Amino acid sequence: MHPPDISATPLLLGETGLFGIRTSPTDQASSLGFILLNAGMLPSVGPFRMNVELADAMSRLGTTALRLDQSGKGESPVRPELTPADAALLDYDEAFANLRRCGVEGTIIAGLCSGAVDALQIAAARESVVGLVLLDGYVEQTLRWHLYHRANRAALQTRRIFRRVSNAISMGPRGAIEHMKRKLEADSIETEAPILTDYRDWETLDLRSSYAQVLGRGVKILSVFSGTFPPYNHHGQMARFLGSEIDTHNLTEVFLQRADHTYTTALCRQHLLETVCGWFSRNFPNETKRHE
Amino acid sequence: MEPFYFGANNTLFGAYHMAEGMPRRHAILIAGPLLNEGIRAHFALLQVANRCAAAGYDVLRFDYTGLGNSRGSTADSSLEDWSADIVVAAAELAKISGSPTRTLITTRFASNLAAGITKTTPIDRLVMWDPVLAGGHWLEMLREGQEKLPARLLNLIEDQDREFMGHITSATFVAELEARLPVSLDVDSRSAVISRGYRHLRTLEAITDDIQQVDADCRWQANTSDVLYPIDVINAICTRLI
Repeated sequence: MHPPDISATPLLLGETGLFGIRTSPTDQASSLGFILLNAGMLPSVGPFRMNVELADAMSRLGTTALRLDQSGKGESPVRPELTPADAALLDYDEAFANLRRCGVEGTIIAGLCSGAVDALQIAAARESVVGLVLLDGYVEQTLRWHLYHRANRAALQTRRIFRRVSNAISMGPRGAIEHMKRKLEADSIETEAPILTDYRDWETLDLRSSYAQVLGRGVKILSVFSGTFPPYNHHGQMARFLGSEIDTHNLTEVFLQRADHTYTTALCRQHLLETVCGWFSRNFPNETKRHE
Repeated sequence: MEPFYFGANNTLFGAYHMAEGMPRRHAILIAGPLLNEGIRAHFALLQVANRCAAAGYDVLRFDYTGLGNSRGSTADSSLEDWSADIVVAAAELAKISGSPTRTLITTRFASNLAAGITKTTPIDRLVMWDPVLAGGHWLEMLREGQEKLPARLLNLIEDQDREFMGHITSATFVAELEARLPVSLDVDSRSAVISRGYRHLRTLEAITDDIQQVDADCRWQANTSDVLYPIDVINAICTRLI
């Protein structure tokens, strides 16, 4: 059953009926709210119900959590008259207004993938945001990313060549020649497969400036990357991308290399929960409820 | 749409779509799929609910115990619990709408779970979307989906007989599934809408001859978290009901 120390309330917010589930500790809640945004087009429960687990865990630490279906996603109707960016801001304003009635004064916003980009842009526009949990959020490929990428590809090619040579030996000379011909033909039509970022308009947004702005304002950021997010391939890439001119002492960068982008397995999600809750306890000690 | 919690201790999440215009005299219950299939089918079933409500039906969608927005955990839930959730949801819908629940839309393994409902609720129409009628059939599909996971993720599953599609199930889940035989609900009108790649047609033909095949690709076991939006399936289901 749901932990008895937590209560869950379904909400319809604002004029359009924005949907969310608010999860609160049944005793004294902290003055921090934890808002979870949609991951892509998934409903507010998140991939493999990850958002429910995160909201419950954060409520057990004392925050009032709100899993939000942003306009046009999950149960929430679209706001056809607004751009997605404006709609995201209005969604946040309505969510925050509800949380304020529960005694919340500041928020931490969490999002995966597109949700992380939305969270960053909302934080840049709203001073009530004091923390961000960005899961596979925006990062650019640095020089070191390219070095790692090439090294990984070279290792892959070496393994492939070794496998082909082994196969050729077992096939005999004639079979090997035929096999190599077919492989060469196949390789000649091979193209680079599109990656996640090919479907995004991130390059049109100045997200590095958004990072600089929110970090400069003192917003604490937990940036978690999974092992299957193509734009990221080594720990420290985020800090390098932001560069030395941006103060990153409020940035915590974590590489959960064994996890996949949508945290498919229960163990991946457990690692994520521990990472997020640990970061929260360290960075907001006065807001964290102690658990026996 | 009106969201609320209902059932014993208010643990089940419901989304009630009130009839628009002149209401019909009975209500429609949607019993969606289990585990991650439920998350993937959410958007499609929302469209079905909206269209049925616009046509004058009171409609209820709900989440099973430990799934979606409902409280609890899949690790503590049995197939009997989920079967009972359908019965509780039908009673709740009749209570809030003031109309008896006479139509049931089941998806995937809910078509098996719904068997118990006719003991308490006189259902007239049953529409099944890609029904899985036997527990063994679904277990086979779950295991196939598991096998398609990359090795790096398989290594992160602590108990492959309990964790399916990212959800940890109860210790007796596999045994319960294996014991679930194909069922047939005692209703006047039984029909099925099936998508491309549907298996176990023979089992389905044993309980209904009203089967509509739709050329849509519904990959229930795909290891992706994207939404399923087979518009032709949604149209076929709605055409049968409205």
